[in-house]
Amino acid sequence: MIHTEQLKSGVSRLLLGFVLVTLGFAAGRRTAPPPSQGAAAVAVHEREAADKVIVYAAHMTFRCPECTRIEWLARELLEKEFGAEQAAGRLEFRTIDYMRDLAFARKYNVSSSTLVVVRLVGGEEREFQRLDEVWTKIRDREEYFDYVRGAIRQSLEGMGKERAR
Amino acid sequence: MSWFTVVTALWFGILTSISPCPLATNIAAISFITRKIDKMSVVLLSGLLYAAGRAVAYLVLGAVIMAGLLASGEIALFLQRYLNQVLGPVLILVGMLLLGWIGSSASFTLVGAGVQTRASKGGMGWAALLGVLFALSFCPVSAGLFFGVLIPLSAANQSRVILPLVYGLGTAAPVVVFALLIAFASQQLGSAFNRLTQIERAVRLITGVLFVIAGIYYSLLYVYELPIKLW
Repeated sequence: MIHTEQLKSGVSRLLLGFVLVTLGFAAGRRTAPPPSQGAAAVAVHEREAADKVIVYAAHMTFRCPECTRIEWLARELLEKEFGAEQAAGRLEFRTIDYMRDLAFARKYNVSSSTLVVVRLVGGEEREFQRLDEVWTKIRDREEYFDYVRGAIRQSLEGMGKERAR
Repeated sequence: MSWFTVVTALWFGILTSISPCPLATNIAAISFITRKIDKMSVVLLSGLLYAAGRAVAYLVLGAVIMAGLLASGEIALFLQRYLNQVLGPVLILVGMLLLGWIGSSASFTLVGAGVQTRASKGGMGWAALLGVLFALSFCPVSAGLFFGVLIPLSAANQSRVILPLVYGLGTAAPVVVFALLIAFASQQLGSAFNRLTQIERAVRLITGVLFVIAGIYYSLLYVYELPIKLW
């Protein structure tokens, strides 16, 4: 009986210690300066010289199976159908942890893992599309491909039209 | 607004709940709702209060966003960055409270004396609080479906109340149904073998342990960012 009480008391102390350390760790990380990568990603693409469309796969630091699928299906689509555009430098695919890159999250009002298609002309951002409906289409591969394909084509065509002017 | 839209919102809620990412909180919620397994009415009321807590949380959040007080991205970032980090320690403390490891002594006065007694012996209001806490602890799927799909759907249908409310009820529905099934089956089993009191004690113990495990899991995941997977 004494052993049970001692064990209970020991585990309780361990757990309370874990709680305190965890809260301290979380608070410490919040007060630490943000990672340098932060606004850099946004700033870098704003300085892009070339006309291009960038597809960002934005994700939380913690990644669920659906989040990974959002990224991998988009990658697959780009490899299968947009190889020429990627080779020519007109289309680029990037992944970004929006929890670490708050400038990106705020700029595109990102609230969960998603795709953001950004159109740049002469280094200036002309348009972006946040594809929030990936969450309702992720279970149907073809529907997902149609949705993402449509958004990318629209951006590429928009870029082509601006170039022609 | 058509019935189809309402059913769609309900389906999005169910979809959120049955996806793997809120699995740990769902298990904790089921065990919490069923902890008074000997009283079916308490289980049912706890389940309803849990659902109400979730629905109210989404309703308030939806109203704030649609009233234009805050951008959905800002709220999502705030909750994902802060609430998810507090969730683990809170679950551990609630688990310890349910196990009777803290709260019975005078030293634990943060939430009032006798809190452990109230938490473990009844206190159905805790189910509603748990519903609010779990609803606001957004994982990627719930954030994606709520902020990315339900809010635009509500805005398009000018529904500040019905759709967020129905979505919230949808997220609670699978948990409540499972809790009732487990309670019913345990009651039948307990009555058949005349062991209802022992089963009830075991369920309370399991509830506390599950809360502690879920708390450690969420701490490792959201605070220490260890890539742990439950599936």
